[in-house]
Amino acid sequence: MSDAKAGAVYDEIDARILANSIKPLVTDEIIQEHKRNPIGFHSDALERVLIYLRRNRLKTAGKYVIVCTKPHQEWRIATLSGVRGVGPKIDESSRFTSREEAEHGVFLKRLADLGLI
Amino acid sequence: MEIVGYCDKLSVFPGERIKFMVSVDGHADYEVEIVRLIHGDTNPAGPGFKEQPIKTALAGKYPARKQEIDAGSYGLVPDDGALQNLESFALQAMIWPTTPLKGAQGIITKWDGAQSLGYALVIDAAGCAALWLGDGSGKIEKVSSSKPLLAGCWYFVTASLQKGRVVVSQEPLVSSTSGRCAMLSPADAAPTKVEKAVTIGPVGANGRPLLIAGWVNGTAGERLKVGGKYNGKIDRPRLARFPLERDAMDRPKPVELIAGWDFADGISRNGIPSRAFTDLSFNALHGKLVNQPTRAMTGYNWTSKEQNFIHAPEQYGAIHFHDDDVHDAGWDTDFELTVPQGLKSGIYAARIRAGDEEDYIPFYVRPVRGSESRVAFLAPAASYMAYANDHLTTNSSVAQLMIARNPVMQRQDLFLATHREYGLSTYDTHSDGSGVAYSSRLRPILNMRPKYRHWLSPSLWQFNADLHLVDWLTEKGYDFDVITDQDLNFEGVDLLRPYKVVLTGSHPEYYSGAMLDALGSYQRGGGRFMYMGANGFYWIIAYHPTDPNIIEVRKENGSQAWKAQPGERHLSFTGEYGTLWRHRGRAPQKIAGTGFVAEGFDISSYYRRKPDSFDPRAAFIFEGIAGDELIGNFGLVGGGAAGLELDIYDAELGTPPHALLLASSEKHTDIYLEVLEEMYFNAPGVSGTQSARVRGDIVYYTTPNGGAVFSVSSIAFCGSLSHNNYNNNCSRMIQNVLNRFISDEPLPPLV
Repeated sequence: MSDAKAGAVYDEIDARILANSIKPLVTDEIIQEHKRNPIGFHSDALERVLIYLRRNRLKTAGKYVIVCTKPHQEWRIATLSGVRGVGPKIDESSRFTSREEAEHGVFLKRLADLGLI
Repeated sequence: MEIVGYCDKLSVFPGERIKFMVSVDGHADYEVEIVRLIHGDTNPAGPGFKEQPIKTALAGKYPARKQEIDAGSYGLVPDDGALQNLESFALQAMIWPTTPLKGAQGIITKWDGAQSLGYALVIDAAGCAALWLGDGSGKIEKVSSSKPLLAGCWYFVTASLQKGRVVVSQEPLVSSTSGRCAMLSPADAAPTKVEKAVTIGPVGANGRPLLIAGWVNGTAGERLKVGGKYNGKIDRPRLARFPLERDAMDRPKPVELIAGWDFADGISRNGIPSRAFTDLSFNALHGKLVNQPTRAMTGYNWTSKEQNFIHAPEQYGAIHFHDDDVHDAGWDTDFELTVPQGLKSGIYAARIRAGDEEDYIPFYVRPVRGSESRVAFLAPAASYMAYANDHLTTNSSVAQLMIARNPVMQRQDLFLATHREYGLSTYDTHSDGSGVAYSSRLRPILNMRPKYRHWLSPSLWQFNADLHLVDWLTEKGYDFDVITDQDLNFEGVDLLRPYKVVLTGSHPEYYSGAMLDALGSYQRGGGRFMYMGANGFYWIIAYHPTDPNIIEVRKENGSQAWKAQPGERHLSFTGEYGTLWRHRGRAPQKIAGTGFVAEGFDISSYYRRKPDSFDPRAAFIFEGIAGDELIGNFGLVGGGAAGLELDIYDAELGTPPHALLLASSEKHTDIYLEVLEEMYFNAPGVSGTQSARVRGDIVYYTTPNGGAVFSVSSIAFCGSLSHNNYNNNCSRMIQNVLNRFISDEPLPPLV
């Protein structure tokens, strides 16, 4: 029972949040901070940016996840379909040797998708 | 995954038989070995994976075959002469469709979809009520109302054939309480009626059963292949001799019916313990439900004055069917094990391997009665079932916010993402958005496996995480038995009575009243209880009274993945009020001294000792641990012993007044937030770096007749036990407590 009108209003307000509250926080400092420590305690600026990115406008379609392709050895980024029964699409060009690296890989990809880097 | 399986029993005694069902794709054969599971964490930073092969006659190669699951619930009424060769009849029901535009769906059908043969009231591909007729001479009639139904609104639908005339009508039933909207536009609110003269022979002699919420597409062996699975509620389905007026739908005269089913029949003071449904006609064409659709659902006439279906059965005549309900995969058996006599109680699995692929099918071996150890690990199997095959990584829009990480999907998750027919967890919503109230173990449960790393945890969760404790008990040389929730639910305190000490798993979250009663009796009778996790004794569940393989929960007023709809908070299996035990006066603090306060899933932290830990009566707990030591600032679950979910000492919620608050965790991130049921308003300042209530409390108290309770209050805790080759302060503390609890030496009572 999705509602297109409510969705459009949400997206419009969310775009304003992105422009006014999130974009100014994206700096080299927080990107470096995330690279050093992708999971755990973060500065307020980094945490706000991460919360925005992880919410993905409350949409699962197009959202990134990590897939472990070799236990304890290899991780890749995948994109959720948003459709039940259609599995995540694994980005074969992405390849990381730690979960933390993959986490940072997703962070950079999300920033790039939104034109923030 | 190319190989998966399940077994028919969870918990067995030596000498009992257990059946295994396996599906293999792409291999001619597979290998079986029975193993004892010790440690399931493959993390190179820990002790590594540990299993012990058990010699049985079963070991060896087996021919492979693929088996499939037919998900989706429906009602089945066996074929009968009264349902055949009909020339005049009316199919009628009150319906509340939730996905009317998802493709054609059966409401009441005696329809062979492969041959277009029989009669059927359906929602057609355009989302409209329709009548389908096929008489076997090649003549097929499909008459549609031509007006799409609105999702979440009740309709009175009628599809009749009388003297060569078809009438299809749909009338919205709008009330202030029972549907999605309290008013519709004049166009939407107007009833619709379409009439058409047809020339068609008698219909219904198609050799198929009558189905409610689907139709028959064929058979596979003895099993029906069912298509047209319906999403939504059906109330008062009728196959009448002529169209009944709306008022007559409630109490039709038997003589007016060829058949007419009353889904409220069978509601008793103890809920709806049956899967049967009753025909009101003289033909007695009773039916049975397949794949456990949701019962105790508000009907079209629900007024909201009653919240419990057992008080107003006439307002709960609806069943909610879903196209992804699964109760029993129903696979054929591939091999059977007679549990060897003398096999030590523990957690075992059938390890099945095909090529490079493998799966483990876990089961529990109980001790022979009368020869129990002094210590029992009580495996929270109901909680494993609640999380069975969850789909939150792919479906939840808040999962990544809650864990403050990207979920890491494993091969099992990828398989489930493309095999929705393996069924859902009680953390999921059905394809129509409604919450999943039941979970069955009669299907492969791929997240209840050794080696599996769960997205919600930084590493392990539930079944595999609990092997951390099993490994520690094993490495430390304790003689212990393994018993399960399921045994506790059906056998009560008798199960626990032989044990000096009972240890829980890391997250015994889902509890039935019978299980809580048994723990309470054990504690009052002098039993010693070690709560080795957090967020336990939280959701109210019921096992089906005669089927130990399925549980029910109704979520609301807690920290939840979905919310029960108004009027639907009571458990259909028992009639009890659902939601959280704390809302029924049984907060977890009354069982364990601590209860759920906060959660976050990024990193874990440590505990610091508090003044009560220096009480001489607690000295035995901290023997060998310095006063200023940080406890558990290490571990395999998030890097610390205090993490994921945390429980707090709370006198108001029932922590006994004489309990000692020994240690508390600190330094949690802002991902850790106080849980919803702890709040009055959403005020800021409830996160880890801001709130001193975001903490796990280690609590100890004595209980009557020489008993005691010791609670660690963190899900991550057991992941720290193996650190530094099992030589660390968490391990030391648990060893101190367990050794003392095992001994017959009385504990100095706290007053």
